[in-house]
Amino acid sequence: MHREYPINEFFYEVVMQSMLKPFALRFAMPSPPLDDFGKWTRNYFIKGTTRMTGADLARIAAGGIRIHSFAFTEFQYTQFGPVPDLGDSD
Amino acid sequence: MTRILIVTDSHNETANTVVSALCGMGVRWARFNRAEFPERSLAVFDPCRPERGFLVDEDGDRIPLGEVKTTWIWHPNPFIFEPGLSPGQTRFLGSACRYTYRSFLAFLEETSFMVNSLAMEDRANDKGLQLRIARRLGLTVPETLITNSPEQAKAFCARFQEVVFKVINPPHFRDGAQLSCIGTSLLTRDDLAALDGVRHSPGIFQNRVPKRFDLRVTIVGDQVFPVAIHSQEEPSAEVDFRQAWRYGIQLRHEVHELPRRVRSQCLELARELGLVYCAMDLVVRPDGEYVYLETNPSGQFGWIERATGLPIARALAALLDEGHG
Repeated sequence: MHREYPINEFFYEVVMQSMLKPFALRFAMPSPPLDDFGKWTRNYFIKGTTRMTGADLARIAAGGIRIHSFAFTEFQYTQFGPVPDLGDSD
Repeated sequence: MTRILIVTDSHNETANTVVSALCGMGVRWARFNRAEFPERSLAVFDPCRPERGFLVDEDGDRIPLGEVKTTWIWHPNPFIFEPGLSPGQTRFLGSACRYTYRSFLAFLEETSFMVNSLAMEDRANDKGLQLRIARRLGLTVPETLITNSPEQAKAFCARFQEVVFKVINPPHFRDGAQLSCIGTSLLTRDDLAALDGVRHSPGIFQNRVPKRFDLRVTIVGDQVFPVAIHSQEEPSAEVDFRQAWRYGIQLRHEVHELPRRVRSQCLELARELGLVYCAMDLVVRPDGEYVYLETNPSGQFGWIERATGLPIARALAALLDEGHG
């Protein structure tokens, strides 16, 4: 049955939905959910590639570490609170 | 007294390997953690009087800018603000920080050796430019179309048996807490039927290059570190070798000897792009031909070093210490 759309509703529901199918987004692969992120990083980092500790992973799960991005090979994040740091040469 | 300034974050493991190498060489260095700016670190500079500038890092240490002989920028994290700001306020302060940061780095670029030059790296991130220079230098490159025209994309795809799509911009994006990544993808019949969506998202179409293996060529100054990545041994990695990591699969890596001609072409390409450090992706076809795909001006190298033992961090530390490309 034909439906009468108010103009805005028509625009967003019909026109926009049919238009907004950006091609690139077909290939977007989400990162693992945060709950799984610890497991995922543990699997990856357990291969001896980082100083990340079990406590760090627990903080990821608790939301205490803000994840900025993860590439396939590297992991960018900021940990709030005291951080282990190599310091500087002085 | 001079030192090397590393603009990164505290946990960057790859940066830490270079730090270890610098320590082994007895070279003085300091770290500027961008994620600590503006809340926990300070940047102070008089743009007309370099000798007066200094940084205060998150530990409270003061680093005179006059001591910085080399600046190495390596995947710094975003700025972080105190909670409680509105989204508009956060955007505004983010803009203030970005402008300050850029001005600060532009200042350092005039007074120190920078890896890589900001302007050159911005320019070199253009994948179209990369392909154009590579082709001019005699490297084989894939047939390529960059477009948001569905009609042209369809015509291009019709010319080849298999076509891959990749984005022209950085492939990661965030939607709330969700992070996503768009890798290189082989177009399926369903994808080809959805090409009208190209109108909303320009990208790069290329004919699929058959592979014997992928080749990662890391360039540090005039040193070249080529490594074969045996992506064709793992189905998930055939099109984009990085996909293997999603499944926790370790691909076989092997140090590769480049033909002298290709080695020279890669070095010349880096030079023309104005990069003293970069990582190039190439493919070696089953017939032995080398095909250039793209250059990553800040391409990661930690995993290559771990997989092969190539001394890339040491080479980079030496480059930073030498203070020139």
